[in-house]
This record gives sequence, C-alpha cells and structure tokens, in this order.
Amino acid sequence: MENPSARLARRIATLVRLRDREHDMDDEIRFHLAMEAKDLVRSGLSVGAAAREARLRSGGVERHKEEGRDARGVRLIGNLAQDLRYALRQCMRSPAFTIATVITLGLSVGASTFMFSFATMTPVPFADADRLVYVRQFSATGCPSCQQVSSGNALSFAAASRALESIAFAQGPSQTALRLGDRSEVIRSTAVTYQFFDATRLTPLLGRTFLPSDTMPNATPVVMLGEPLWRTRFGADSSIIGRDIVLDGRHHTVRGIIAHDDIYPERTDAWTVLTLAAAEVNDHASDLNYLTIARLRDGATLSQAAAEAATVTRRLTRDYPSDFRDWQLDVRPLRLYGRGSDDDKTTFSVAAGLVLAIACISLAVLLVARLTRWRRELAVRSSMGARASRLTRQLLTETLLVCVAAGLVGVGAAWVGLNGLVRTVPVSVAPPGLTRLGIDAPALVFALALAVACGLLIALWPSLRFARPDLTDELREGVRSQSTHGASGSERLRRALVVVELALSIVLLTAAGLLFRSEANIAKAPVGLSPDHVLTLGVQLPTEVDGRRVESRGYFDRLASALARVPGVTSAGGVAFLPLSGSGWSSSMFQVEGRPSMTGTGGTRTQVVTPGYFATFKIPIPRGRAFTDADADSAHVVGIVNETLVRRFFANDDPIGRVLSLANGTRLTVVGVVADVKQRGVLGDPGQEIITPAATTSRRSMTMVVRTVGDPAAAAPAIVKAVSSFDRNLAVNRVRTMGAVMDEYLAAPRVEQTAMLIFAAIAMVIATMGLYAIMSYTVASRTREFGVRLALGASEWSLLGLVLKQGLRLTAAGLVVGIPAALAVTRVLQSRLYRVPANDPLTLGAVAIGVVLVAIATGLIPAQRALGVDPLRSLKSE
Amino acid sequence: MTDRADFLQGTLDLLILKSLALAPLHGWGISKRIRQLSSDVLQVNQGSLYPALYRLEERGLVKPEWGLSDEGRRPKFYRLTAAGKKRVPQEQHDWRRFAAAVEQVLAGS
Repeated sequence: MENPSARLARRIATLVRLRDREHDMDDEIRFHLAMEAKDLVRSGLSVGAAAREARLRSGGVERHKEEGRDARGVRLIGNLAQDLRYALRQCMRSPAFTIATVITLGLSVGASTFMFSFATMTPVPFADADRLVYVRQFSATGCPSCQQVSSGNALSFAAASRALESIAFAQGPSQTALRLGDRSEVIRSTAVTYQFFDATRLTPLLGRTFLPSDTMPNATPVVMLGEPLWRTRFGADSSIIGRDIVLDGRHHTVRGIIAHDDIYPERTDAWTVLTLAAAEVNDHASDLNYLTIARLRDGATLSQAAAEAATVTRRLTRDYPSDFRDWQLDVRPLRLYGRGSDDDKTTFSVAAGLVLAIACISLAVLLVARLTRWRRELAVRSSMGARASRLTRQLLTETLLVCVAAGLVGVGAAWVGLNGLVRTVPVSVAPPGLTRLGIDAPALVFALALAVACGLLIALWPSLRFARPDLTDELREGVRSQSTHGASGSERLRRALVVVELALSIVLLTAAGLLFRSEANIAKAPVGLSPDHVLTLGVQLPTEVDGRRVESRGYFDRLASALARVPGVTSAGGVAFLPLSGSGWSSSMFQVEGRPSMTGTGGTRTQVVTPGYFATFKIPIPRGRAFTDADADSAHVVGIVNETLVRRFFANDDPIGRVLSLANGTRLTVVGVVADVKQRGVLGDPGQEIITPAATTSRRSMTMVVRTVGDPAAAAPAIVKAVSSFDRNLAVNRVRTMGAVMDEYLAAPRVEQTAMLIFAAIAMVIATMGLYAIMSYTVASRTREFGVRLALGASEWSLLGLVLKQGLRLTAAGLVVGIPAALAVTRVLQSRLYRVPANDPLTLGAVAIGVVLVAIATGLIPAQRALGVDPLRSLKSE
Repeated sequence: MTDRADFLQGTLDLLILKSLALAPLHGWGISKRIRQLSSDVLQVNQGSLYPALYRLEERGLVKPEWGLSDEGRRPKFYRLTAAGKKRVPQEQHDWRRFAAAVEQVLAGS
C-alpha cells in the first residue's frame, strides 16, 4: 500500500487534471468499444450489429464512468451538479414546504438584516467614528438633555484636557442663500472652525480644507462645497476651486470639495468658517449654540475624557459661581449627538428580534416535519445500499439551495423595508443617520452568512442525530404513527413550539395595538395652536446685497404687515422656531430681578415672534397682552412668558411687570403670559419659554405664518409673489401648510406604529402557518379514527368540534403565555405612549379576541377535510 | 470473511495484476488476455474492468502510460508498479488458500 501522503498528492493531481481524466476515460472506453466491435466483425457480424452488440455488452457507459470516478475518489465534484439537480427536484416535489421554508427563513433573514442595518446606522460617516466625541453641558434640573455647550466652557475644557485633541465648533446646518445666476436658492450650510477638519481627519475630494489663516478677522471668506451640491449645481467642474461663489450675499472663495460619503453634519451642502466673537470666548453661561466636537487622543479613552469633564466642571463651578450654576460638563460619543440615547433603535430591535425568534421557531417546526419524512427515506435508501454520507450531502445541498433562495428573499425584503422607512420618515423627525440607511456590503454579507448558517444548522442537526438509523425501527414507526393518536415526542415538540410562536405574536400584536392607539391620541391632542388655514414659509435674509449690509431690524415685522395686506389673508406673523416642525431651538438661563438667584432656569427656550404671530395661530394669552408695533424699541425690551414658566417660577407671584435678565445680557419686562404651545409635540414637557419681539433682535431668518380665508395651499403662489415683490433678494423655501407640518410631525410615531404592525403581521402569519400545519397533521393522522366515528354515527359537527378543540387549546395556551409576556414587554414602550397605559385592557382584549378568531378560521380548513372523510376509505387506509 | 462483492472484486484484481505481469497492456488487451487464458469462461466487461483498473491505480499497484496500438491509435497502457509486482504472489497465495477452503467444504458435506 502506498503511503497516505503520496495518495493525497495523487488525488489532488487527479482533481487538478480532472478534465483530462474525463477525456481519458472517454477515449479508453471508446477504444475498448471499437476493438470489441472489430472482433465481432471478424467473427462474422455486420458492422452495425457488431457495434450494437459491443455496446450492449458494455452495459452503459455512463455508469462505468461514474464508477470510474468513484474509484478515483473524485466523486465529490462530479456529484455536486447531480446533487443540485436532485435537490431541485426534491424541492419541486413538495412546493408548499419549500415555499414555506423559503418565506419563513427569508423573512427572518430580512428582519435580521433590517435590524442590523438599522442598528449600525450612524450619522457619523467616518471610519474611526468611535474616536470622535462631543462635549455637552447639561443641567439635571433645567436641561437634562441639552446637547451643546457654551463656547467659553468648551475652550476652558480644551485647554485643560489631555485626553482630547482638536476641539472644534460647528453650527448648523442652517439655511443660507446661494446665488445661482439671477436667482437664489436656499441651501444648508454649516459653519465650522478650522479644527473641524483636524478633528474629523477629513480629506477633501478636491482642493484643500480651511487653514488657520482663514479665520483671521479680515480674511477672505472661504467655503467648502459638498459633492452632491458640486455635481448638481456646478456641473462637477473641478476648476471651481479657487473661484468665487456668492453665499449669503457675500463672495466666498471655494477651497475644496467634500466627498459625498464624508458629509457631516448630516445634510450639509456647504461649510463656511466659524469665527468666535470675542465675547463668546469668555462666555460661560449663554446660548448654547455650538456642536463641540473633539477627538480622543491616541490611547485615551472615553472614560478618561469624562473624568476630565468632571474635574473641569468643579473648577468652572468654583471660578464662575453665578454664570455656571447647576451645569455639568460631559463627554459622549459623537454618534449619540442629538439623541438622549439609543432608545428609538431599541423598539425596532426588540420587534425584529421577536420576529426572528418566531421565524426560527417556525423553521424548527417545519424541519421536525421534514425530518420524519427524511428518516424514513434514509432508512429505505440505506437498505438499498446508498451510503449515509451521500444522503447527508444531498440533504445539505437541498438545504443550501433553499437557504440561498431564502437569503435573496431576505435581502429583498430588508431592502424594501429600509427604503420604505427612509422614504416615509420626513427629514425633520428622522433619527440621525437615516439618510444613509440602506443595504451596504456589510449588511449583504451578514444576510447571506446568516442564511447559510441557519441552513447548515438545520441540515446538520438531523444528519448528526440520525446518522445510522435502525432500519426496522424506522419502517415500523412509520406504520405505527398512522394508527395511534397519542402524540409522539416530535409531535409534542411541534405543539410546544407553536404555542411559543402564538405567544410571541401576541406580544407583537399588543405592542402594535398600543402604538396605534397612542398615535391616534397624538393626532387628536391639542397642541396649543390652531393649525388649520395657515400657510408657513421659511424666509432668509442675506447678510449683504451688492456689497451693502442689509439691515434686519424690524424687517420681518414689515414683511408680516405686507403679507397681511394680501387679499384673502386674515393675519400674518413670523416666528423664529416654528412649533412642531422639528426645527432647532435656542435656549438660555434667566434670572428675575429683585429676587435671589434661582437654579433650574437653564434650557429655557427663547422664541422670537412678530406681533401678528399669536393672532395667526389663535394662541390665547390669558394674562397681560400680546406684542404691538410699539414694542420695537430695543432700549425697553418686553417679553412674554409661557404658563409652564409661570408655574415653575412664579407660583405665588404675578410675572407681569417683572424684569427678567437673560444670560446674553438682555433685560426684558414681562407684559404677558401665553398658553403653552407644544413646541416639540405632545409627548413630553412643553418646556418653559420666553418670547421676545423680532423687532428688537437682528435675526436674519424666520418662518412666516399666514392665516388665509380659504385653502392655504391655493393661496401659496400669491403669498410667495408678495414676498418677492416686497424684496426680491429674499430667499423663500419650505412653503407648506401648517397641516402638512403637522402630518410630518405625526410621521414619526406613525412610522413606528407601521413597522410594529408589519412585524406583528409577519409574526401572526408564521404562527398561523404553524397552527395550520399542526391541525392538518392531526386530521391526516386521525383519518382512520374519524372514519370509525362517522361509521359509528357521530355527527359532522362533533368531528369539527374535535379538530377545532385542539386548535383552541393551543391558542389558549398561547394566550396564557403571551398575555403576561406582552404586559412585561410593553412596559418599555410606556415612554412613547400618549394617554394609553402600557397594560391597556382594551388593546389586550382586542388582541386576544383577534387571535382566537384567526385560530378558528385556520382550523376550519383542515376541519372541513375531516368532514369529507369517507369512512370506508379511511378504514382501508390502515 | 469477505462477502460476495468483495470476493469477486479481489479476484478480478488478481486476474488483472497477473495479466500485466508479463507486459503492459491497455484495457481491451487485458480483457482479451483474461478471456483467452480462461478459454472464454471469464469474460470481463467494461463495467467491471475499468473501475477495477482505476482502483488498482488508486492503490498504486498499476501505473498508466501512453502507448501505441497496432492500428496507430494511442490508448492508455497499464503497467505494474514495483508495489504491484510485489503484490502478485501474495494475492495468488490468498486465492489458493480460499479456493482450497471452499473445495474442502464442498467435499465434506
């Protein structure tokens, strides 16, 4: 016997020269046939007869080749094609099972891929995003989820920090006007300090990033363009580097282009230079307006940075006792900017996880059924001489075929789901990173790997368990199971699995129902203003026109008056931050003059409006008065506060007439108290608010709101024309009715609810399929019994009852497990539910009744078959 | 004891090896020689011959090589390897023992 390594070498050589070997075999056999035929001719046969005889004697060339291949040990490769063909035939033979498996596995892969993409969604596109952090300043009592920091505090931190490097500020994106030929277009630009590019280690697609010299006081303004803007509006012309564009009425030199994949903050079209005013450098308490990004130094950790933040907090509290009361500095990963936590992902992930669990269970159920059939087949074929390994390989091939199909179905389903999500969630309420959501390479790999892994698990488990079945046992059991109706072990397992599936479906259905009710409540809930018949439009005033600075004081008041004169308009006003639009906000601390200093005033919203605003939205002012045109005097600023502020800080006091001083130095006299407007929506606290007249500020952008007599959408063209005839340099954008704004605001809970509903529906479908399978199987295996009963005179209805009883028993078990589970799981949803308790009995009741009805309906189909049983035939089928 | 299929296979292997002892032959030649030497009693068809040959090659007892036939074709000739040559007497001895044993049983009952 030659040694194993030489044998292996020869095997490999054989594989390598496989095609040659095949030809050799062909030639050999053909040669043999020819010689045999020649011999026969010599012994007297005709040529044709000789050829036929020779072939007959050889007994089938293909088989010889097969056995030859077998002997050579190259069976594996040659058989793969055959296995695939056999697997395809097997799949076609039981189409229902194949389709059920592909769909079930496909849905689970799809849900997992969706979850994977969603969970890995991040607004920070950079490769080393986990080294990027942001610094924030929050107040546990006043503004627990503030995301920004006063510039002075950030700079103090930067100076003292050893863990962080390249601290940079960013503000935006905000709307600005880009001059294109003779018209203006509104784009979004973010102002950043030059260190922004150091911190993010961003390299431009073309050109260069900002230099320190660009931030000098009299430096030429420079701008970086984003790739999408460059392509759509500048024709991807690379000679634009170094040329000027007119942004915000001023000439900016284009320094470089930022690649599409590197855009940060999200949806920024262009970057300009941010220079801190001198006053801001020492500002430790005022409007928190800047996203403060920093990079962890190589080797530093987030916890080190957080510890430094705590130290600096103590020092600032000590050094600036009046400005820095109550605040704390904090360092967090950049991907969490703007969000409290990863909460919104949790709901989706949990739901997808449940669907996955259900799909896996269902798959297991299907497999147990398949397994019984396979064992029998294995036993029979083993007895005829087939090798177990060959059968296993066939099973593996068949499973892999199904898995690849399922993987593709899953990827398709996930793609549809993700695209649908991106398209239906409006930009203003989208969680960060949503614009980038899609099936990327990692998700694809994940999906296919998951499908294949599932498949291998599914295929290997039975083949390992039943590698050498005892032949007689198998064949005997096959007969036995027909005549008993005691449940075998695998049958019990199937039932238990279906109960679990039902329970999980109940959990998902309950969650969907709760979200549905919550969304309905949110839609009906009053928000503190009358949104009907109101048109909104964003208006942007350029800083300069033709080299002259544009004066903005009182500008929007005049614009509002002009709009109010348009025929069909009842009233018009302007507001800095349109409620319910997801627009940003500005916040500040304040103190009441004549009172000892108070804590917890941080994070007070500062809103700016023109006098007509309150009337346009019909916002009631229960105490005091609204603004008038006379309040334009900057020397004597007046203000209006909202009821929440009064409730918190003026419980026993009349705020009218008191003087408040804001952190930026503004002193205002309170002249009115306005009803709360739910700026951010009905969920959560409306927050305390101080409103000042627009005429006393120098804002350059506002949203105008116009109340019309008729349909606001129909009045839109006339109103926009009125704006441009008032001043053709005004850039107008986002013309929408307030109704449309409300729809968008409702979109977020609606999306969540829809997604949950889809998941619940999928779960219910899978569970129902499982239930149906069990009841079918029961009917099939009790055919003889039914025949006997019918023969003995049982009524058809009693048979129906028997079948349905089993289904209902399983459903009841599902409810018993599912309802407590639902109560436990939906508790986590409570924070996003509006006016619906998490243990809402109405929802639970509806779900329970629904599930029972579905179970009954499912049971009717096989039950009908039981009724159609011919007693004689069933007895004979023994 | 080996069962029937194995026994037949082992016998065929021995016949092939023996046929090749004198000189290398191609497949057709081997089947012809066996037929001739057994006076037409043993007729080995392609279905048995080639698998056996490939198996022998697999075990390293024969080696294929290209040759020239009388008609000018180029079939593959098989030649005994050194290991193959060593195997022939062993297989022959085993066969003789087996045949004698069978004969004993037949004679005794």
